[in-house]
Amino acid sequence: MILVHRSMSKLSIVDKKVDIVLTPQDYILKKEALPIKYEYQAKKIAMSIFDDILDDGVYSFFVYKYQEEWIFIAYNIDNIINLLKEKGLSDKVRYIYFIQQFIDSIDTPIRLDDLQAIVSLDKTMTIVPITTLNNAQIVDFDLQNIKIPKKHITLKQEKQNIDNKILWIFSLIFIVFSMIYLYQGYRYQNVSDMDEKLNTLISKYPNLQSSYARDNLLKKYKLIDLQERKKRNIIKNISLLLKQKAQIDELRIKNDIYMVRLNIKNVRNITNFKKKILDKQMKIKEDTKDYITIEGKL
Amino acid sequence: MTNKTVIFVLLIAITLGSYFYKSVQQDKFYHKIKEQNKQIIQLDEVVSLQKIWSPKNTKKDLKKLKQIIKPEKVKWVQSSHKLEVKYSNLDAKELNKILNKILNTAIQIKDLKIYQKDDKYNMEILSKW
Repeated sequence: MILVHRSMSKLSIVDKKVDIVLTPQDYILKKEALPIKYEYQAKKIAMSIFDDILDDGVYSFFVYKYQEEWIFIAYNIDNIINLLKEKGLSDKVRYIYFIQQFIDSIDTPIRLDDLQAIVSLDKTMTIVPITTLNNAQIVDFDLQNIKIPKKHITLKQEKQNIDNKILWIFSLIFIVFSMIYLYQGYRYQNVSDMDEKLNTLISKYPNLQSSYARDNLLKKYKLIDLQERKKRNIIKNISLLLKQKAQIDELRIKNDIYMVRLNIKNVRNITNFKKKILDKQMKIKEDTKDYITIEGKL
Repeated sequence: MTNKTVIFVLLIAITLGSYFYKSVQQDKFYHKIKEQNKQIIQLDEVVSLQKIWSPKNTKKDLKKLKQIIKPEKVKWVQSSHKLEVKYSNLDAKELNKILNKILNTAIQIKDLKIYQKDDKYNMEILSKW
């Protein structure tokens, strides 16, 4: 087990997993006597305990009960990972402990470097300058006679926590999208504006309710409409030709055939007159000096 | 597979299912709208054509066709849905008047015959509605 702190030199460990202990350099501690019973409850309020005292960054919380108080430890896993990398320990660490967890086992100041030591002040592990210790005995961190706490954190666990966060975020997104899609689907299923319009029309014209009846009626009336419009168009075109001083000698429209014989004795410009007939998509069947016969199908 | 993974996969499946449900409903909706729109257009068309060619309106217009010419020039035979009219000795103006009226009356022209005799026009029309 290695006490990891910022002023330590880089280590070279080969093929071995080690446990490490972090100093107050890498965590922030708060003690609170709270009327809560369970650890999960304490974890829930950990964030609010450190309100306004944490620097920017993502913090995780390590909580446990010590005597009558709850110990809250806030740590930034990114900073810890960086420190471990710096000290050559990044992929060598098994369990991570906080020096505060060893409070009952440490009664002598522990040397960090030539200038600093960790001491227990009022049951809190604190970094102090060695000069303040008045020549007290200072020892190196030693595992002998130290009781190893059961609780610890692991880098894997931290990674999993982050994964869990991402998982939660994605789950939430999926839930939101599901709800939106379900709502949209429900809306599509129940939109009835067109139903209303169609029902109004059908209730107004009940004989047109069946599509078969509608189709038949539409076919029937479309044919009538088309043929009658054509007949009227022929009559209209002939009326326009009469303005050129032509006279109807005979006109016949029967079923889908029409025939018109025009007296053109008084027409001044015959060529122009014929051109007008052809422009109106009508065919000249017979063409004599005094008469023009137009014949065709509707 | 952990519980979390199962839940996550389930959520993805639910989301995809919801999306599929929405898409199916959307397709059904647009298909329905298209069908209904087609029906409404068809209904409107039938109704408007019926209005034009319905016997109710035609009967009113037929009276006018009789009244625009002196009675002695008109031979009028009308049955329930058929009309046979013979106009005789019409001048060009009268012929023009009748033709204009026919153009604007919703009768089905079955047979129309116009011929000139001694500078006057005769006209026979067989129609139904």
